[in-house]
Amino acid sequence: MDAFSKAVGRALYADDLRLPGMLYGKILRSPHPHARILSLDTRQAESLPGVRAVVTGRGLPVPYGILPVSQDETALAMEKVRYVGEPVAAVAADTEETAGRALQLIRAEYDPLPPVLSLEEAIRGKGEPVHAKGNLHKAVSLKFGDANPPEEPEYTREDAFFYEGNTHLPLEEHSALALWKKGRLVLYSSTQTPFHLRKILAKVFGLPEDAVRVIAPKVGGGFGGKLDPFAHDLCASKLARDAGRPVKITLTREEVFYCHRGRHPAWMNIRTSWKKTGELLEMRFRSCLDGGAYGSFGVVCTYYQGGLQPTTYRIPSYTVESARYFTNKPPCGPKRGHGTPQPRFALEAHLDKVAEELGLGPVELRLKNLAPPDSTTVNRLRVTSSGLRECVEKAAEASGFRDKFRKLPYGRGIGFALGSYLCGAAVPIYWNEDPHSRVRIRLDAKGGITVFSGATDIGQGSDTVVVWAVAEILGVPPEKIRLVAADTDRTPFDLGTYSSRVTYMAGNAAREAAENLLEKVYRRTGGRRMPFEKAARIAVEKEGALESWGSYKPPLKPANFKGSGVGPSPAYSFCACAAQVQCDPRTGRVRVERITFAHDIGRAIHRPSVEGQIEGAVHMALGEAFLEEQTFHPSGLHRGPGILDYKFLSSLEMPEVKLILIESKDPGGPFGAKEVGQGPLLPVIPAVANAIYDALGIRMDKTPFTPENILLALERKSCGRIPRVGPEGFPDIPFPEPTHIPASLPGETVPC
Amino acid sequence: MLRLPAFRYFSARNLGEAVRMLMDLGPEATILAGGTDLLPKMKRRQIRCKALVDIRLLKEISGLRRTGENGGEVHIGSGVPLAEAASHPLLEEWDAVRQAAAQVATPSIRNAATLGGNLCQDTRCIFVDRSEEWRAALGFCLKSGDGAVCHAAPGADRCRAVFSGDIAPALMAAAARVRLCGGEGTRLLPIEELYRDDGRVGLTRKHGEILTEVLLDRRSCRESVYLKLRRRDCFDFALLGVAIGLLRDQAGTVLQARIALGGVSPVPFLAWEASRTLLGNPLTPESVAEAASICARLAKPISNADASPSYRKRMAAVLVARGLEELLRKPS
Ligand SMILES: Cc1cc2nc3c(=O)[nH]c(=O)nc-3n(C[C@H](O)[C@H](O)[C@H](O)COP(=O)(O)OP(=O)(O)OC[C@H]3O[C@@H](n4cnc5c(N)ncnc54)[C@H](O)[C@@H]3O)c2cc1C
Ligand code: SF4
Repeated sequence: MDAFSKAVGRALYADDLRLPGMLYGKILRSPHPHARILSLDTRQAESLPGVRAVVTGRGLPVPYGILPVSQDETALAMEKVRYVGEPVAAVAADTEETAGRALQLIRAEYDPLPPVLSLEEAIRGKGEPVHAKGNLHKAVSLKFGDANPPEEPEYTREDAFFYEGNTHLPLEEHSALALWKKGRLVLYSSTQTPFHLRKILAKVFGLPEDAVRVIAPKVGGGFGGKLDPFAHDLCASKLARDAGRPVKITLTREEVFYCHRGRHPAWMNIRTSWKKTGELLEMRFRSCLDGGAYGSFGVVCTYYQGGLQPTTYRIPSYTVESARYFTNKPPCGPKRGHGTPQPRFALEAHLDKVAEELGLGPVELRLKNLAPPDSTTVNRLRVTSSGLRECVEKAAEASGFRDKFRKLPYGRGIGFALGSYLCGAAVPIYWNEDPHSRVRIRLDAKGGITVFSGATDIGQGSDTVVVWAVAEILGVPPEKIRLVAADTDRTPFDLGTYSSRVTYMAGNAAREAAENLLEKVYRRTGGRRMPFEKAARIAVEKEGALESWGSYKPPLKPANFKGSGVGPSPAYSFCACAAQVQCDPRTGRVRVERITFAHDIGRAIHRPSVEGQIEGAVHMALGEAFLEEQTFHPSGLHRGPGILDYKFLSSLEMPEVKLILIESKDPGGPFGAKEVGQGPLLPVIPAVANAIYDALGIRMDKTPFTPENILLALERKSCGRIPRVGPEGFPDIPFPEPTHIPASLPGETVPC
Repeated sequence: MLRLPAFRYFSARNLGEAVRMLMDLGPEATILAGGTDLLPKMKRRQIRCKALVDIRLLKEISGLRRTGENGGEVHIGSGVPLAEAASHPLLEEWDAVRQAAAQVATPSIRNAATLGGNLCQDTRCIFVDRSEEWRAALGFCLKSGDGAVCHAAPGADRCRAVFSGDIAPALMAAAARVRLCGGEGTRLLPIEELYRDDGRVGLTRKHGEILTEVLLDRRSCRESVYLKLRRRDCFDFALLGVAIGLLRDQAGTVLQARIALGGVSPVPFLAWEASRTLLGNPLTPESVAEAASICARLAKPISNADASPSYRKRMAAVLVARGLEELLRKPS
């Protein structure tokens, strides 16, 4: 839809917008990871010529958070700062330069407290905790299915893993432009969720929701990093009100690292029991997340630690214990794959070790334990269409896995792993019975078609999907359709871009709206057969215009236990990945030669977009596997908050990706389609770890797989120690007694 | 986006004018070439200068030419963009120089970046190449402001920020000389003498002096190679740069050897001790291994880049061995 305008630089992002009289806002951030704010004197800044408004925590005191259970943030820190980079004050001035100078004139006095910078420190809990209630944010303990394994286990294995935190790194730095018109707030923001942002703005400013309008212009990437409401959204709004002029705040790259909400560092432990022949009997999965300073999506992430293992594998008896701790670092939150890439890495790397010890091929072991289509998992998730088996077989075949595994020369290797993801969370963040997506289509007097959708295109191509769905039903070329999107005043409600929900949900709403329009049009033309465009002109003759609506609501009710809202989805995507690597045992560098990827997309509505998403996910996954680290200096400072220092994968390390699309035609998806935005990231990381083992005989049980760690593992191997790098055991965490959810619950219905 | 601070801008039309401008404006004026090193540092308020003298229009520093008997000398203007240096036919025989230029940063940076700027770039350290707010939050160090500590090596009284330029070691291996032109005239010096072992100010260049050209002489070096260690295959500065230049006779006997290491100390340096072990004999696996292990001993990186010092030190041996093996495979 918008590739051309983006390629030639014509597309407008939030920071491209300028309004008459607009001021520039800047945010003062904490230099301490943990400190009490003693005083904040803004008088000098206020009297600097050109400064139009200054705000501190007291000016925006209403707490908020993306989850109803975690309303633990304020736009600007109130009594305490909890990470380096936490916003403490904001100014608006005639120029950026003046705003910058004003920040330097703000006198902030702090009383530094010992910071909590690691999981170990958070658990030990010495000194003042990050939040008054203690460092433990959430602990979950659930037991699913059979209380005991169905048969006596013949083999048991336990492994520990660590997944390093990393961030989204969207190309576009966040930006927000606020103005007030007759008591109404209008905010342009690079957000993935305009309707949620509207809700938070209304809460903080004490306004009814319809007194707030949020517009997402073109958004230059999000990956989950633009889901939460942010200080810059609220500060721009507040400053604009106080100054009586529009205010824009655009973050620097460094500030984006402080907004973060990225991947949680996770210390994990997995234990499984088996029959010798390779049937999985039970699994216990434990995970401990380093959450950073605030809640964000953390509670959901904690549940996701154990959420999606069962959509790929049958697990008769399954125990999940997961916890999240607060630390004095930028808050972690949702990044592509949400809370599932860490456990997926642990699970798939663990399976590789199990397969080896049982003397089975990694592909064979997986095939033996696949979750079947049209089934209910042990944790009460309803799997509908599944091309998983086909994914496994096709990826194994196309990569030559069986011929290469354990047969390539030293230094070269191949690894295998699976993945699965939701096609939209079945439960909204704020529980209600309304549709999750609505789409409106207007047919005007000249036969023009305009689609109104609240879905937000953040570069993933949702605009294309919505328009193509309508074009397909109406039988008109997509170029003939205009789209108005992501504007809370002009477009109908949509939950936003997260949980891989847009194609499935907004796509379905668009399809339904188009079908309704078609019906209306042909009713007015007496059902005569003719091209849509001609029928449309006849149909609008009388009223001048026609309108139709479509909506989508997942046909699911979650099971009734605490935490059951995380994981259910109307459908799941599936994928299998084979990674082939070449390692240099002298330098520890690994080159990924080839990724073979089979993905069950349900149905590809727009093939180039599907391929783009998979290639993008492979790129991001390889960055997480080899390079990316959001890590901190003992002072609490981010080690490298810049695009040169934060290492992501460059195009030169990108391998050839061989793609295989499996079309399982989901009964509930629009035209049978499922998700592709997040799932393809999952199997790549463990597939690479498994390939490194095949190449060098070392286990990388900790991301990223740096050259240093590869050499360290090789050294351990050569002196007869366990050839691995990774954590040992699992920390001592006060988990509650697990809630037992038996294989079927009394009175429960899991409708399909 | 970070913005540049205010500064005065002067564009010089010729070398003499550029030198005069610099002298008149005094120490607060700085030379601007491609700006790819200078401007990011100005944005981060690491370098404070009130005036920039742009030398990009100077004819005297542009282009390459051949001189000397049989054209054995090549002059490279300091204004030559790295993209040009990486592929210029006159540099065909100077493998290390071309390879080094081709591995700097990214293609778009190489189009803007110049050779002179590359050689005169500032030293680097993960504790100073940060925004002003970041540095202030940590506390300023010996290089980053008025601090008296070193965050990379607490207790050190000397800054060991690293010179990470790629082309200097390659030129050292090739026994290149550089010409500087300033208020007091011109001087021609071996490239080694351009640098000094001080992380805060790593150049011996005097204020007002402009590096105008680099001279290469075929008689000092006939074969060369440059290898670079970094996290990714583009974009990243060298965690270690190894350049080797050799002069061998027909029998393969090494007559001259120069191994230069970059990215591991405040100055790129010639590892004489290692180079000497290669002289007087053809290269053998043993001599290669010996030179390599001496280089690992001589490389003394500290924790101020994004890979561990021990890894970089260890890689010095690997890269030196690889470089020599590569030359060994080629017919001399
Ligand atoms: C993302 C990124 C990655 C980079 N990666 C690398 C890398 O891998 N390897 C590498 O070597 N460099 C790298 N650089 C640094 C820089 O781009 C190069 O060193 C480049 O060659 C500098 O040339 P320039 O013309 O842009 O220098 P400028 O920035 O214009 O100048 C650099 C310094 O040299 C001085 N100067 C410039 N010309 C002269 C002259 N003729 N005489 C005297 N003084 C002069 C200037 O006053 C200034 O102090 C990177 C930079 C960036 C931003
Ligand atoms: S080496 Fe030490 S003194 Fe020099 S820049 Fe780095 S931290 Fe500062």
